[in-house]
Amino acid sequence: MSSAHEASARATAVATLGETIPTDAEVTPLDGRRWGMVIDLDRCTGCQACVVACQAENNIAINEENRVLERRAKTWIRIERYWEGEFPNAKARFIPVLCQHCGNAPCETVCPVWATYHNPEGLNVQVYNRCIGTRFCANGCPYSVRYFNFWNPEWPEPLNNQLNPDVTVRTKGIIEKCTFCLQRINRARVTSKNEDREIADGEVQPACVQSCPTTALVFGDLNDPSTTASRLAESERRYTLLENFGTDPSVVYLKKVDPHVEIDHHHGHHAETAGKHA
Amino acid sequence: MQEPVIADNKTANRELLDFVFSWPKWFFLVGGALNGLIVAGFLVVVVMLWFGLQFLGYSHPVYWGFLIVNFVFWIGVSHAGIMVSAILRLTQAEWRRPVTRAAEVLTIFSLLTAVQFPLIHSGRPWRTMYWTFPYDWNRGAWPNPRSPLVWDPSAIFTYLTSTILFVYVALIPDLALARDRAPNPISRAIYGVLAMGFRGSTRQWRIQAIAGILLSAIILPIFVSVHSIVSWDFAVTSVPGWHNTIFAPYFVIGAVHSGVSAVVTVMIVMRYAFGLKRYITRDHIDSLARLLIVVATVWLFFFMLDLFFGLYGTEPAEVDTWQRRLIEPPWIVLAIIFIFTAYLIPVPMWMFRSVRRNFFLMFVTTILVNIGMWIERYMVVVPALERKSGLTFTYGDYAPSLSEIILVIASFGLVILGFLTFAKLLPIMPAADIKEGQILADRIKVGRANVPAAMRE
Amino acid sequence: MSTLGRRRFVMGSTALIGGATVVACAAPERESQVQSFVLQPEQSLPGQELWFATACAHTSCGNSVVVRTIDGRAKKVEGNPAFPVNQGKLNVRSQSGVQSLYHPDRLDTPKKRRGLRGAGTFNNLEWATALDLLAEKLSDASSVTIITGPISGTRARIAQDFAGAFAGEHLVYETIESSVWRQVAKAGLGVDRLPHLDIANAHSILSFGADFLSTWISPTQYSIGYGEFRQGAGERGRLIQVEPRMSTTGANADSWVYVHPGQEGALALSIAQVIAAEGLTGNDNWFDAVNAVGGLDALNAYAPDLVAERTGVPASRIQEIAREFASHQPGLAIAGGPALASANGLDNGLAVILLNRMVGSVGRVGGLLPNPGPRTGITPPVVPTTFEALASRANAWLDGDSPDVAIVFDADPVYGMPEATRFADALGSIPFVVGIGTAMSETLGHADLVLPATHAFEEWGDFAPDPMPGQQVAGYQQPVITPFVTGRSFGDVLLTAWHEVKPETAPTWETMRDAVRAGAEQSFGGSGDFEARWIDLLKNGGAWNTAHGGSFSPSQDWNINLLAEPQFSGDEIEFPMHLVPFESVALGTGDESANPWMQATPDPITSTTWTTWVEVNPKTAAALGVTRGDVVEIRTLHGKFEATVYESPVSAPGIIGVPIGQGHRFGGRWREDRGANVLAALAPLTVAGAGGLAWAATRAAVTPTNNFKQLPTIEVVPNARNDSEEPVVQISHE
Ligand SMILES: Nc1nc2c(c(=O)[nH]1)N[C@H]1C(S)=C(S)[C@@H](COP(=O)(O)OP(=O)(O)OC[C@H]3O[C@@H](n4cnc5c(=O)[nH]c(N)nc54)[C@H](O)[C@@H]3O)O[C@H]1N2
Ligand code: SF4
Ligand code: SF4
Ligand code: SF4
Ligand code: SF4
Repeated sequence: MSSAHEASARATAVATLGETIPTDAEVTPLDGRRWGMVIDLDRCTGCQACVVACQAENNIAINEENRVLERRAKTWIRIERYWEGEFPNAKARFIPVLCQHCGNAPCETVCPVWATYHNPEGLNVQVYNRCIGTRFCANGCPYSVRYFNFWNPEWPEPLNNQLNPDVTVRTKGIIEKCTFCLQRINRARVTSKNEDREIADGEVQPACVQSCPTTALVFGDLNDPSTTASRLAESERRYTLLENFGTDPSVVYLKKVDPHVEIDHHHGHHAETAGKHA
Repeated sequence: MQEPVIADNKTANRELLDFVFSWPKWFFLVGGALNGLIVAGFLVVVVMLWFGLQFLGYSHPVYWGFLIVNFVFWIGVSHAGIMVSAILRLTQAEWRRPVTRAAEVLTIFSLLTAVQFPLIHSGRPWRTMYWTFPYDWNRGAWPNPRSPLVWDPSAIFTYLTSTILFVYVALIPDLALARDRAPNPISRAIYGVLAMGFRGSTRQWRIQAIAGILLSAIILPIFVSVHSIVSWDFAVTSVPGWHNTIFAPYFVIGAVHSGVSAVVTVMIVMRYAFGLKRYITRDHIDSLARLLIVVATVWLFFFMLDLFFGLYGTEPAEVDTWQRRLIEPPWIVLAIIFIFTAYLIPVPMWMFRSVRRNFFLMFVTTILVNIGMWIERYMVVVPALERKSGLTFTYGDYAPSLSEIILVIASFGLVILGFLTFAKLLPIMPAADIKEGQILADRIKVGRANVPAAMRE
Repeated sequence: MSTLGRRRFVMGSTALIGGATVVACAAPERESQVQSFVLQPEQSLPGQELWFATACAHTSCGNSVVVRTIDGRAKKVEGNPAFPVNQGKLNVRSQSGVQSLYHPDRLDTPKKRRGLRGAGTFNNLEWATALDLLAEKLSDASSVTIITGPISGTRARIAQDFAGAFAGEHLVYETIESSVWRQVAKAGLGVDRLPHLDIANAHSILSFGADFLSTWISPTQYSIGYGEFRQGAGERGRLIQVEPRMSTTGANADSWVYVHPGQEGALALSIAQVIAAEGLTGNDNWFDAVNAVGGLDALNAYAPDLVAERTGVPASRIQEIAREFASHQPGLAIAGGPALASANGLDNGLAVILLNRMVGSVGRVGGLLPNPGPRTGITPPVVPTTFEALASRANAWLDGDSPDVAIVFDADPVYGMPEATRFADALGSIPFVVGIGTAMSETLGHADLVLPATHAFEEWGDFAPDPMPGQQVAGYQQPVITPFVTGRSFGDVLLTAWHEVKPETAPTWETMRDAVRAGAEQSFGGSGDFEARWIDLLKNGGAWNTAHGGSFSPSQDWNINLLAEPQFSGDEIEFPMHLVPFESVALGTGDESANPWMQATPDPITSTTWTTWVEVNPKTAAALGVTRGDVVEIRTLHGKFEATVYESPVSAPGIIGVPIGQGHRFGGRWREDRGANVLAALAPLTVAGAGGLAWAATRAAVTPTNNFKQLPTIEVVPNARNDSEEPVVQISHE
């Protein structure tokens, strides 16, 4: 068993998670794998294909109208839309927000029962079975990507036939969130192991990444410089979300390009240069 | 300040045990009403267990609210007992004597009430043993020592244990007294077991006194740690408005403020309810009010520090939180009520001796303080969660649901009923302590000199 | 007739590119059936996933999908990675196919009407009784009309031939028509086929109202190109979107330009004038192109100064657009949405074609490319019946000139046709209406006999995508699970009835499966054993070749001087607002709105779910005395409905945008009695010369009601903004 395999075997064996408390070196893996995602905001159109793909893959409960009204709707990935300006020079900006799988995750330290912890491949893992639903982690997460189950999910028969058997259906009283489609990572791990090879770049495609029509989402090992994801993550346009929190996210955003905007690099402000008419 | 002699031994014994052995009608009425509140709260908890937390007012991303506020509030109130008993005992403040037991009992019941709130507030209370107790040695599934939610139960249970011990040690002579005066053999037997053979020998008195003093000293650091640790539930997170260094002392002094105020309220109620006019006097209330002026002002100072640090850092999120807390509607309404009730109304009033010695005004002002301090906790917990970061798309808001309001009201019922039950079963006035005070206060004539009848150890 | 339920399809398997295993194989039996571990259907291992290639649930969308099945249940729909149209990608609506498949309110038994038409009361029937009834009505009928959605391949062939055999016609109803764009291509490019847009290789796109990233024509295909267009290997493409209401595509544009409704053509000609006057193309293409359609003098009448007021776009802005578009070549100009849905839509479209010709984009990489026709043996997509034709049919039916029987499948004209056309009444004057579908719809609610159809994942079929991705593509559809309810496919119903009633004219094959296979053999047969080829076709989801095909012959006889002023229904005083209906990304025209994922998918612009809202400019809203959440009544000359106000900073004063897709009475728990149907209130105006519905040509009056409805949006703070101090979405200069 290679050390990578060993590490991943440990990642899956959540039942044994208490055997060691991860040290700092494990929290931000330096030589092993670090799964990550690059999101190119210049490609993303806000089309929501990723949102539905995630709902379909991960057995996320149906967000009935009342759930939306109560703000208890669950979307492990959501498209946030921000306005800039007023008509006629108004602009809409889209940004997909999912768990950033922080290398330095504020949600992890506060969980009293290790229900959320960092695995050796850089994933912020949620162990549903251990979670007691204090929601402390959700307070700690500056990205607000953790969702609490206020009730048991229901799929009126026969809609339940669609449920993915690879993914737990979460009961009431616990927190859930994006897993980077851990089940797909595990499947690739088993396949590659059976075929006695390493996981290839692009072999793991989380559901959102898989569906995204514009290829705005790219998933891969950020510690391996040869992957598409790590090459893209080196882009000049790279930034991480809410950098001031120091969370060391595994999700890297590439800035939206606006040819009509001139950037004041010292202050990060941007000013419109064209398009002020009427 | 030495108390004057107020009653002879016999009268004191009778009056202080009067409520324990009598059954006034109001006791059943009040007890019944309180039980009603508790049953209502219990039903809400059953519903929460069965249907999940859907009937609470929480939503994404405001996942903490009334129940946590109430938890912090009762932990705060629990600081009364030890403040009054331990500190005043160590500093030999004589006027403390009639006050201590009530304050300590208040501590026990507010702690017992407080610890229930994080439990019922969690999504799966039946599994919370994972969190509180290291339950599985074989698999090494330990709690996460980095989480304040693991520090909380350690601190609170330590505090609870030592407080119970503290009360018990002080209670032993009174248990013996109750044993000796119990009207029937059954209660005599029970008090007898509890009194652990206390007969009032010098050695027994000595051990009891030393234990009390030692416990007072040991309990003080615990007292400071409890609310510090509760404050770290907030302060160690990265939520703007929460992660403030000043939180620990700020929470502790706030706790003393609300706790001592609660003691004053309770004393005044006891004075009339239990017919203890002779023991709870204007002097007691006056002294507590003076203490409160100091505590409240230190608390205000810390509050201003919290605000000052927030603004001084000019971190936009932090400034924004403060701005909303204090200025933006609807928060401004709460902010005004809070600052007036917690400080601006009571403290200037307490400056007047006539107010300090007026039971009615003291009753009203100390109630006001606790209204204000409850709101203060609310303003710490909720607004910060509503606007956590620059992701304005997911800003939330919060309004308590009926279930939460019932639970909060029920928590008051629980504390009061606990207190009442204690007073029914055991002397709520430390008879032995009071008598000790009187002996110390007694003066005898030795020649022309008027000297104390007893010397202190 | 042998039913699919008893059949075993044993085909074979191989891995396909992209890691997805596309398998044509035995659809395992029902869950309730006891399964022997020794004698398994081939390749079905309990707990083992199988991927089947088939057609997207929406049979008209031209995407091929792979469906993950486990233990005989469809679990997840993904794009077919090898298929050239969608290249493994999928939009939101296609992904909800599993929800229409397992919808709790899916039709599972035939139903016969009880009570009045449209009342929605039915008695359940046995399949045999239902088929007998159908046969009886058909044998008595002197003419039978078939109404379907846009279809191609064997399904289309059977529908057409059936209608022929029964002395009737095949009408194709498309809610939001691609027909005007088709007519534009025909008149402007000389081909009766939708062109391929080479978005990936374009350096600029000038789009007049076409929401090609969200709902227009083939959004998945276009979005794939758009990703490359933005951040592919070449220069970063620039997108300029011109439209009266900001669409999702507009929201992604580098320059978004407001234009008065119906004035897109004038604006296009003005841009053309700047290109000509400033010699921006660097070649003489423009000269030929302009000469062919009226000459420079005619064009000069559209100089920016002269049209600034008419179009609502300042002259300087028009010049900038022209320069930006012309200086980033190859560029692509397209028209769609409201630009083509005005009374002068055809003219607007032809003006846009002129721009393409001026910059040399017709037939050039990075421009408009021709599409080949479908492969021999595969029936091409049936050209949709125009609104005008359908409305005149409705009139004729009302006048008593109706067929005896109508069979409706995968089309909901009772929902989509404006109420002013009285289409429901017209359908009611047909003596016997048969509806086939997987779920109730407004149209099926008006039928006499309702037959539950198999879902797209349960049936056989083939299709020719429309438009193709510039190359010849044939798609194949196979059942990926054993039918979950006892439904019958549209083709099977027609074939069964045909063989029963008119065996003499009936085709030789008796089932859709045989028909599809026979068609495939005709197309791909050649010499040797066809079985292996057939399995390959199913496994791959179809066949395609990389060669581009077809050609344009742009002999334009349209003249600049013909550009008409737009006409609107309703006068400006009584109806001061322009009503712009639009397709939101998940609701579309309402086809998938019964699926809860689609109802819950936030609209990209407003983030609204589950209801009908109306986008109003904040100042307009203030003038009306309404704000977010207020329910307003929107009244047109032809109807009225209620919607909830969303104050949108990108909304133009004078324009109200309302999403299509809600306001159903039928279709199950998640869509019934929810929101309002804006289409019903539209004026029955047509696009001159093209016959399409001018759905953006209705004026409306907005009056507040006293009602309030909290808008179910994902955004919490109204109008969340990207703070320039701490931007969430960071912007970079080029
Ligand atoms: N689906 C499925 N079926 C299988 C197998 C499989 O892998 N999958 N494996 C097969 C194999 S290999 C085997 S060996 C069999 C085993 O099948 P069983 O022999 O049925 O084995 P168990 O269910 O493990 O135990 C039977 C019962 O014994 C009880 N028991 C435990 N200790 C004692 C005891 O000291 N005294 C008494 N009286 N009762 C006791 C247990 O509580 C339990 O109710 O299952 C076979 N069946
Ligand atoms: S994004 Fe939030 S939930 Fe995810 S790892 Fe970071 S802090 Fe935790
Ligand atoms: S909600 Fe669950 S995961 Fe989050 S802190 Fe509490 S126990 Fe841990
Ligand atoms: S990675 Fe998987 S779980 Fe996370 S958002 Fe994407 S689809 Fe959902
Ligand atoms: S699927 Fe891709 S383009 Fe669409 S919203 Fe998601 S990330 Fe953006």
